[in-house]
Amino acid sequence: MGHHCGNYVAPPLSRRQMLRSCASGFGAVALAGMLGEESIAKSLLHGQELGITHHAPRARNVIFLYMDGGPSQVDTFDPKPRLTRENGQPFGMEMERTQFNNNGKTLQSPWKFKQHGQSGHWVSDLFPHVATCADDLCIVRSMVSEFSEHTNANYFLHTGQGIAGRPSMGSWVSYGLGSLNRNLPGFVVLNGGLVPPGGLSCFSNGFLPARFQGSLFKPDDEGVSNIRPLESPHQQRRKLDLVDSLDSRASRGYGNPDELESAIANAELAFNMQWSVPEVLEITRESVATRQLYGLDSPHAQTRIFARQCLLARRLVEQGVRFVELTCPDVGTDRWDQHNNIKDGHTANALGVDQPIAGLLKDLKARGMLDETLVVWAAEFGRTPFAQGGNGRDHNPFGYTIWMAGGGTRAGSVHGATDEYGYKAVDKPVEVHDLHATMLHLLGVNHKELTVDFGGRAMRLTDVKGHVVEPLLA
Amino acid sequence: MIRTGENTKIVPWTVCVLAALCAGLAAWPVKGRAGNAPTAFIKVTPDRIDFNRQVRPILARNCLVCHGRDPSSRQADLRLDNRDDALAVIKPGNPEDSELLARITAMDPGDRMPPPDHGQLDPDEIRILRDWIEQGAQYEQLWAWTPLSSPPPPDVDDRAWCREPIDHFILADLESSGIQPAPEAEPHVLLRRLAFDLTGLPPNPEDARGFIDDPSEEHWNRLIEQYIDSPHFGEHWARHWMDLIRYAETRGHEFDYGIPNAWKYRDYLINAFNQDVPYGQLVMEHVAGDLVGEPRLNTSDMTNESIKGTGFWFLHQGTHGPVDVRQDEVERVANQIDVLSKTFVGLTVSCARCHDHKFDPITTKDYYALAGFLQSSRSQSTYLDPHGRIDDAMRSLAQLHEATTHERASWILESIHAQDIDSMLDGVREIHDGSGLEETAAKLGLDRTVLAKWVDQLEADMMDAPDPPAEDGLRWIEQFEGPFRDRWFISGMAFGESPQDVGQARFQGGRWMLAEAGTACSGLMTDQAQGTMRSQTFELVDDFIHFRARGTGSRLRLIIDGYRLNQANPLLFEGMIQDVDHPGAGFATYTMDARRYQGHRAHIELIDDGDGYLEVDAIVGSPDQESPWDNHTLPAGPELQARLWNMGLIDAVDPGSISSQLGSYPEMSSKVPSPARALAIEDGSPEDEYVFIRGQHRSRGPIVPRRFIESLGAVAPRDMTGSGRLHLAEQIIDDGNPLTWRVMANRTWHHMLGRGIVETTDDFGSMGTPPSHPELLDYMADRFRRDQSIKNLVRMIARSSTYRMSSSTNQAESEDRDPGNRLWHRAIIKRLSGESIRDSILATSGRLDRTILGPPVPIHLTPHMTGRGRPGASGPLDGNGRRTIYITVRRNFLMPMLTAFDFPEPSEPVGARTRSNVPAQALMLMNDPFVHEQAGVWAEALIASSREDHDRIRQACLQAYGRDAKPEEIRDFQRFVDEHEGDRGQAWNDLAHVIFNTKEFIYLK
Repeated sequence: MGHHCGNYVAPPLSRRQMLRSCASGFGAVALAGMLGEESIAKSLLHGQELGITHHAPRARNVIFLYMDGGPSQVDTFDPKPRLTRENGQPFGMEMERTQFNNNGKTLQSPWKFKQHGQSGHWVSDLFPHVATCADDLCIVRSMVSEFSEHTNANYFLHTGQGIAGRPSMGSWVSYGLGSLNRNLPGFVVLNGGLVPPGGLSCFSNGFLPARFQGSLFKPDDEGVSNIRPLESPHQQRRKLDLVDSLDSRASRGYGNPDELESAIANAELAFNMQWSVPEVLEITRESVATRQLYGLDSPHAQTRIFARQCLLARRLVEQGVRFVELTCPDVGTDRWDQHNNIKDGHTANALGVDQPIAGLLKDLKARGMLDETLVVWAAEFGRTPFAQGGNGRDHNPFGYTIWMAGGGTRAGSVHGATDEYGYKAVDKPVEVHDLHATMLHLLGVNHKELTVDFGGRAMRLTDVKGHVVEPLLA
Repeated sequence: MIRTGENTKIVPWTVCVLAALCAGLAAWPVKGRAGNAPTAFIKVTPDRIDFNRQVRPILARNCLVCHGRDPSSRQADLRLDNRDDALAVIKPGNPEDSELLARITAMDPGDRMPPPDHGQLDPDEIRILRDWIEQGAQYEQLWAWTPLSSPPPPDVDDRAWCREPIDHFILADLESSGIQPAPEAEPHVLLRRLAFDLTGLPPNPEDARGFIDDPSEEHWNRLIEQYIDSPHFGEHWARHWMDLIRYAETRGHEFDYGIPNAWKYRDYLINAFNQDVPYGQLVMEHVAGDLVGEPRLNTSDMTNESIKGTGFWFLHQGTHGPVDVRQDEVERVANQIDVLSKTFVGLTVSCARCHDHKFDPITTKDYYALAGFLQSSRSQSTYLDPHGRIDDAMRSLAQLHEATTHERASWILESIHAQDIDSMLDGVREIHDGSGLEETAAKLGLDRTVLAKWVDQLEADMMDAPDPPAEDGLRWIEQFEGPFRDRWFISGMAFGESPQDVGQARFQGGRWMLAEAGTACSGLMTDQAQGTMRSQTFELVDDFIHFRARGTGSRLRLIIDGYRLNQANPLLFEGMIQDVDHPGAGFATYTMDARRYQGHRAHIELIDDGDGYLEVDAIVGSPDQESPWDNHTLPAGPELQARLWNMGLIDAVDPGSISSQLGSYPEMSSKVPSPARALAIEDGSPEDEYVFIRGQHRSRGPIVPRRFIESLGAVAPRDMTGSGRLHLAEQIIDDGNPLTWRVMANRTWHHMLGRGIVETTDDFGSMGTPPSHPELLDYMADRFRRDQSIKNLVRMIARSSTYRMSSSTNQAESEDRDPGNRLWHRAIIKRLSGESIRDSILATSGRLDRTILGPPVPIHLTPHMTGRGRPGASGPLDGNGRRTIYITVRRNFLMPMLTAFDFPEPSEPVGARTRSNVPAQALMLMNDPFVHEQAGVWAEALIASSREDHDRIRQACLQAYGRDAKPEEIRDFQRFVDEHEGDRGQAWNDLAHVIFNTKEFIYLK
């Protein structure tokens, strides 16, 4: 089993001394030590890179574009001419129970689809910018979920369980791989304004240590809770110097126990984070061209918000944050959850995210980062091909579309298919556990081996399920 | 398998450590121990492999998933979980001939076990298995299932060190390993430890000072009693318990709807721990507090206290509008079983939901046998009667009622004017058919004015008949007469004991009314009374359910698969709750559309939770949405008379004598107080559950009778009444069930000492860690079983020498010999919980409001706490100075200070919080406005406390650290204040903030 403690040798120095003598490894040893993560502490001592992988990783980081609410597959990436032919007629398949139980007639897409790029990917007019990146996309048209309710489906997509309380995928990734930057958290959620139904539990560390909690960054303002000092740096430094001398004395008197030493190191790390976090959030030094690429000059406020999130996502990834998740901006007509008037609602939501996403993909590519950055565009479920009421669509977990880009995925490919109505996955269904397994695989992690003991079981992100979807791999 | 972080349980290096320890135990059995009474545990000796401690963890981790109890995942038809089957690959005494050993040591990856992608055994593990086979490959019962023993405290060399019997167990192991126990901690360290461990609050400066001056044994014991008797003891220990039962005051999910009265359960806990309610009773009250014969009463308002314990069942999460409501129920029950089994018996029964437990003797049948108890029970908001005042008022009314009205009903009926009712009705019919009033009155010789009144009333109210017409497809769902009366579950006082009989009299709206048929009526005595009637559980087979009802301020409700959140959001359950507002003499039809829920289980609730009343005459299922009742059929006989009387159309012979007999009734009936409410469970129709194949509720296996876990000796009782939860509770606290007592004794040790004797406090199964000191655990558990007192456990530990050891790691030799402090050669340094840190800041600043109990204080909302269900207004930054336990626990808006310090997500039971150490914690103390604010409050108090800086500094140290200021602190603090660039106030403010940021403030040494 390769147990890490087989030949564990206690460090010759106190952790604190070690910290001071090892500038580059500053926080890593602190974090490792404070968690008793001897494996990490040891690997650092030996100068190895952090993280535990089971095979060569294709991706080092993940940017998860969370399309809260459920964009409609048949209006975005999964064209269904039959809907147009049968528009307004009774729906041609048996209808499953829906969230609002107000099922109407077959509803055609208000948008036109065109093929794009060499791959010939079908993309609707909703995403003119993303369409220009068609050849980078690895589209999965046969995604399925187990839940029709937002919250259960959100928890399921994020944690592999339909209830609150389990670790989020970002927590698992930072737990498994560690962070590449000691002054930043391993799992960052860039909150565009909408916290998904289910709340912050979607980003919870669950039964993993609090360190692996998703850190919620508001892309504007102070970014992180309590990151902004309420006093001048000088004043604060003076206080912390006194704290440090008191703590050192106390710890020394107790034989420099790990508990105290690591807490002391943390205070120093926190002090540094007060500068490193605002710095990474500072985008004024990005070139005008870059900012325009993302849409920061867009006339639409929502586009500017998501543009900022996407740009920050790239910056965080550059800084070594393992997992960055983006939530959607509030576009005034609810999230991608158009139970009525799908045309206006989806138009507004797409306008918010389209250009920023394309900007992100192009920027990552231009910087040579796309190869090692896995971008995932996904929601908790899709929408019904039949109407809810007259012009809306209800939740549909039986078949919907997500896509991935970069990070070792097969660019320009389509995987799986729904039926002729775009209702249910009929070819090569991909379950949420499969998506998780595949994401972890791309990160070099065997999803069956990434476990933690809780409540009498070796818990996994993929529970007892999940298969790596080989055709998605480049 | 990656095993990092503190959730890691036993990893094989600890097995190595154990093995090393075993080696150190060579000289151990010498001191006359062999003659002691036999115990259930075979002590480890150097040559003897201990199956439970050494072998079982290896098998459990590496082999049993594929070669264990569960047939569904078994490979190669090989079982290694019992000896008989394992002998297929094991030759006892002959490891080299054993296929098992050959496979785990095979060089060829194709032969090697475990398979390559399941990891490998390390050399030490292989050696243990080899030795074990050589020694005969004996299996032993899982340690946790062995009967509770009562081992005598072992003899030790240094008897003087031992203050309590438990010290003997600790010292004996230390001595046999040649380790000195750490010296006693300094008095101020001890007192801080004691105060926080018992009450979650720092010692007050006077006590701190006093104990430093007089650290005598007698003083220590007195302080123990002081803290054990403190009302804050219950607050602190209730909070530990709340982690287990995933306490929250909202349901989370999309809109974070509230759980009304959840806090009553929190107060129940605080009182129970303060009163040291015998543990068996505490368990009983949790599981079946609604069913106990003589409920315990609240000491201040005399309400039923026992029933409040059952609130824990329903503190689960909740999704509104579940598309598969049965699945929603299945998940809820799974969570309830998880909480029940981990909390009370430390077992992971929920693992057996889809398959037999892979490692422990727990089967899917056990799981679904437990699910049956919940299938047979329901959630309720119970009616409580503070000071028995409702009961008093209702009794007085009843006396008056009984004294006069029993006769009154028949008397009214008999004394009705000999009016010609038939003629009047003929007149009404003729007019209804088109005749004029004048001519009809003249033709039939009736009083024109009276006839007009009859027409008016009867036309407006449409006379109805109670029986559904004899058409196909109509059927009674419930009735209220004859044998049906006993089928209803009645709570509260409004509905009386059972539905009423025809002709019974009641006082309503200022006059006597007569019951017209066997109806359910909540206004029998007075409209003020509140209560609910619940039907049996039935299968929904009718498209529509029609109620004939009348009343005001009341409700009809259909509960489907136990789903209740439609109260907050009706999505997918529209019309399943209907307000009744039809105060007329006739009945109205209320219809529920149940088409979506055909085949689901449901029950009906008739609810009067206000000052109105509800009367229901009939409940009928029908294929049609139309009301089944023919509105023009008149009742006959006494019922017709009663109807006409109630409508005021006919009078008694002597109206004056009736009103004179009313006496004080009208006034008394308006003065019945409203009940208090609490979240609770109650019995429904007894129903056993099916085994769900692979956990899927649509694939039903055999039905399982309700019972507790079979391997703990439970059998399905023959004489079970109702849901059977009373029986379940009895089985949990049965003397023969060793787990209940071991688990709670271990929890107490965990909270006091910082780590359980069984580290996995919620898993005593084979995937948990074995006990570090099994005999000590049994000694405590056995005493606990006999005296049932948690306070005695706490006292016993607090008085011990073990508890009083220093936590210093300065004893290098001991650290070497006992790495990880497995043998407890010293105390464990503990970080305070988030709650204690916040409470401690408030206590130190002087802002703490020590009021106990009561409704929660709204949570303070930061800009980062966003999302649906966000409360409209933020609570106060300082929570009004109340202890953290009184701040609202909103699932979607948890207090950031708590989550930063490892507050567990309220979803599953957590008996041992993780203890992480993250920068967010430091950021919290450095920059959180609350901490800054309290530093200011404290600074002001310090400045006011003395004119001398040195005195202020001394006071600060005494308050914050419970000790005297050291000379260097006086020097450094003075310099900090003197050299501060701001004014004096700011300087002290900053110093106070510094102290809040020191590790000594948030750690217990």
